[in-house]
Amino acid sequence: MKRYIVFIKQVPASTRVSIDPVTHALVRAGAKSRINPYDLHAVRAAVELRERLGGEVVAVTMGPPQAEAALREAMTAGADRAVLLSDRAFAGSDTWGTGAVLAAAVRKIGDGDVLLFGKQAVDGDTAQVGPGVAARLGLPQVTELLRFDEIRDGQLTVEKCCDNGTQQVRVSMPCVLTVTKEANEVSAPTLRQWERAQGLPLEVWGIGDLDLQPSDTGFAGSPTRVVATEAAATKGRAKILGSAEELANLIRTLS
Amino acid sequence: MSEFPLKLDAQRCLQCGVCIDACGYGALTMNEYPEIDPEACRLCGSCAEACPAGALVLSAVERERDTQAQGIWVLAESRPDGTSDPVTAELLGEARRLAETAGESVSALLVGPSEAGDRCRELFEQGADRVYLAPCADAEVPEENRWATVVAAVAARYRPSILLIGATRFGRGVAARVAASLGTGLTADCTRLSIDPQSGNLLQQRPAFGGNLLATIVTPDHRPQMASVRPGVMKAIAPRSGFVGEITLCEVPAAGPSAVEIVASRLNETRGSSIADARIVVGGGRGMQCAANMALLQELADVLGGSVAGSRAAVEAGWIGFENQVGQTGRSIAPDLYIACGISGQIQHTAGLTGAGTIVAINNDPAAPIFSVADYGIVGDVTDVLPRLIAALRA
Repeated sequence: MKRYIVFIKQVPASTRVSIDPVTHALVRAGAKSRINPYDLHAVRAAVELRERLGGEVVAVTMGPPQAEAALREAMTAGADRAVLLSDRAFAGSDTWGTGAVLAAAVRKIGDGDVLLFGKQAVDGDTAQVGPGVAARLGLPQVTELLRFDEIRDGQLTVEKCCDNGTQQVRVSMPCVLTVTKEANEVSAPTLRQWERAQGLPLEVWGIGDLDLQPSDTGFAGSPTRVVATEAAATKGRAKILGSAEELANLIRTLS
Repeated sequence: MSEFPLKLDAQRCLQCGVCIDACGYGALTMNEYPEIDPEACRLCGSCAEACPAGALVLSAVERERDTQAQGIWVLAESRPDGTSDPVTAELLGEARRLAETAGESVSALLVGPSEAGDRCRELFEQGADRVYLAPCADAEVPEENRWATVVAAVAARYRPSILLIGATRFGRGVAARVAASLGTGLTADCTRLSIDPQSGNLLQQRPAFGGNLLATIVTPDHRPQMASVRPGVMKAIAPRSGFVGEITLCEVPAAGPSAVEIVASRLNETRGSSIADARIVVGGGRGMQCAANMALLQELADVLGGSVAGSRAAVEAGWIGFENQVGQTGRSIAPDLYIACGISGQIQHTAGLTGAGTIVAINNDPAAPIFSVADYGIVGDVTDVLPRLIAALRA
């Protein structure tokens, strides 16, 4: 049976944040979370593959126990089952540490024919985890999928974004895809879809369930360290000019 | 269950409570001694930094630093049509500035072309002391997977201390794959780089949370320290005419059966000058009101010899092409002069302007955030101000 594994991330509902001037702590506009919007398109792409080739769609996320909500969203959008990777040992992971956990999860699930990621997550914007997992598993990657041109057993022909245009590429399975918002339409879920998702199986795995050492992931296993965060600086107020003519004179002196 | 990386040394603790206030996540509570809630703790280290007694210790991670690695490398990127990408010159310029502080040499890694003489000369002029040339005919039409294999193999053999890659679509795909193959850290989409004078580490600054925050990231122990860098942010150096450095010919791993095959490329023909290279850029946003008014921007750009760009709102309205979008999800630009017309100045847009010189804003809302980013402003309707500005410039 074919298997499509979709990796999703729970992200803050708003990216509006500020720094508390006294404590220097991150102040988020609200504590609400949602599924990363690109990931819903990855789920939809996986469902398209299932519709054409048969098989199952497995949604996977790494996060705190509350991340179950994002997995239920993925199942509402069409995934058949879900795995939540949750352990204190995963805390503080950078993209490398996260990739270690996700790759180990793929091995435990028993491999997939197509692994799908959203193009990037809207909180970190790195676009690194998908290619990182592909490299760890030795799978070919196709980033920024725009659409499927041809879905055949064992081989996909797809359209992808490239710098200054698009490319059509052919990739053999198993492979890793990262999916853009242009790849498909995501429709609002029906009540029936929501009800279906509540009853689907969801497993929770910790580090003990995976072939992974604590030093491979989390803070200890992550090569990068965040050493400072600051609010983006602004210049202060612009000098307001009285007329277009005054601006024209200024531009002349600049150029 | 593994040990939590943040620990309290109760012998040293003064029970002063400074750490409780320092924690931004409410993860510490005082119960005679501070107690750590591992579910809430984000391992940010604020408490350890605040503690006057050194009683809170973050990470007993003992890792050996790779001290053998040396040199600052830049991946010389090729565009889908095989020509050199302008981001390479920007990265070489930045590498030269870093090299001065770090006391290192600058090298470019060139993958692909068999006729490499012209490309090598170009790289020497742009700042490279040495070119590592990895010839492989099958990589001439750049493909992420193949390039990543070649770059990882050459970097593993010659072990640079720093490896910079342009954060183009292609570069980001390659960089993430290379970093995972080499088992090293990678910071995405950096907008500022410097060398920490104490540790010698590369300080990598990048926008996070949609540009609202700037995070500084280091890779303390692993080498190479990898960063992808936003195109249009760093400045190229003046060409070192006639400078000739050394060329090291690298062995390249044989290509396996290609798992990803590029069937066809459809590249946009760039009309007029690109906003990435333009010295003067005129940008339009939602406040331009309609597609017809965008002609005013073109007229102004023509008078000034500049290019026209748009905010996401203008692109989504269909007034201007996606390739001319400036901002977090578009391009970064670094013109000497940027004129923002009818652009409110959301962080999403201004994130693409960090390298711009003088910024002028024209907007009818005096409270628009663009006036906090701009150097000069005119409060007024663009349909009124722009014709008068164009006329005054022509006079």
